[in-house]
Amino acid sequence: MQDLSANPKFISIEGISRRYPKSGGGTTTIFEDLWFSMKRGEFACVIGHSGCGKTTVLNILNGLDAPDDGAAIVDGKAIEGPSLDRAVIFQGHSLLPWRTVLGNVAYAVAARHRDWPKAKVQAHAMAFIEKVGLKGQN
Amino acid sequence: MTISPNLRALVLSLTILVVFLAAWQIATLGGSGPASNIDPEYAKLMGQQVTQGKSAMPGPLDVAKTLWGHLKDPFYDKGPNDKGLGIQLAYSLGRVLLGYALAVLLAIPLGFLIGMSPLISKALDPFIQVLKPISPLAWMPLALYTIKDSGISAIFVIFICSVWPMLLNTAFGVSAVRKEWLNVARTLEVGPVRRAFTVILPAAAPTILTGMRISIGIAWLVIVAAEMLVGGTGIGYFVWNEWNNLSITNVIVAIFVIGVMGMLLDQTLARFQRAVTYPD
Repeated sequence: MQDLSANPKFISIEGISRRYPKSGGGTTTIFEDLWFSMKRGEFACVIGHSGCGKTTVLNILNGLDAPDDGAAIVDGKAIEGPSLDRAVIFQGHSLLPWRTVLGNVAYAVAARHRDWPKAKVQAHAMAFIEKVGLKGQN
Repeated sequence: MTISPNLRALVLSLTILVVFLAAWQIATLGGSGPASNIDPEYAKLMGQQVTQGKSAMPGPLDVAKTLWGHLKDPFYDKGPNDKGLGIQLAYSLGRVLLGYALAVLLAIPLGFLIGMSPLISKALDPFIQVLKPISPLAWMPLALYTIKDSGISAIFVIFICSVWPMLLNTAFGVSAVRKEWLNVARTLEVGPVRRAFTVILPAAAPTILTGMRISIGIAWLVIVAAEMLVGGTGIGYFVWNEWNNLSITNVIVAIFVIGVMGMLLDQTLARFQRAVTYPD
């Protein structure tokens, strides 16, 4: 059995490219032939100028976007769509404004633990709200 | 001393009302006085308008008196041509609410579908574009012929006029849901039905309610005209019946009541709209 923590390529980006159709035919290439890999528990920064494709890479890792060539592999599996195994904090605020803070957190908790009763979901969400010092802020 | 803006607006409103009522009263006062050289038999036939120079237009006091009379006893029923104002209003309101409810049942699910699917949106667009500008009353003969019941035909006309604003607003609201919110749902692996109810519906609710508010306004406008055509009962029929009676006073009373009722309907939906609006 393989030791996953020793896997130097826990996250592996293998020759991906992303192209968008240009108005009037043809395509604009954002990036191509991109390779990099990361170990489990590794912390990394992707730096680049505006519009170079940082968010696109992140979206591909999340499964919201798909590469035109190559593949993104996490934990030995090619990414085929969004999954609860991979979490992304979006750049733009993506809170659901008609829900309270508790409602927003509980929404995600309930999505991950579908069999939990409502009270357990609320308590779990509240524990994390308390952890970040937002308890009783209304 | 500062007076609150609300109080100042109220004072101004009351002033405008008093000026309007006074102008109305003066305009409808008698003009030339009684004509003396008319044959008494002829005078009896022609009534006050000719003999005393009284205007046929009632003054505000006559209208207020008649209105009070109606409000004192709104639910009497003395045969097909003499029913209380409350009964007539209830008939109209019943037709509007029934036709409107049917329109809600069709327009909101269909609007959801159009908003979610570009294919269905493109396929249905030509039909909607052609059907939307048709005056609801133009459907009346067709409705009478196929349904063969004037009451249900009126409800159908209300249905057809309420459908469009709700359909288009729902489709627009659903298609304009922010992509980030949909991505949140996708990342959390929320299923399509749950996503429709927990993300898309709350996000589109203010737009949907705007459509519903426009629709109830149009429905209330159309019911008066529809009831003038189908007759029998309702506030629209009352207006036309009183015009045939040459009772301008009752016509004015009915106009006023139609306005108040329309305002109440609009305010009710405005309240619902405020309840679903979220700060962005």
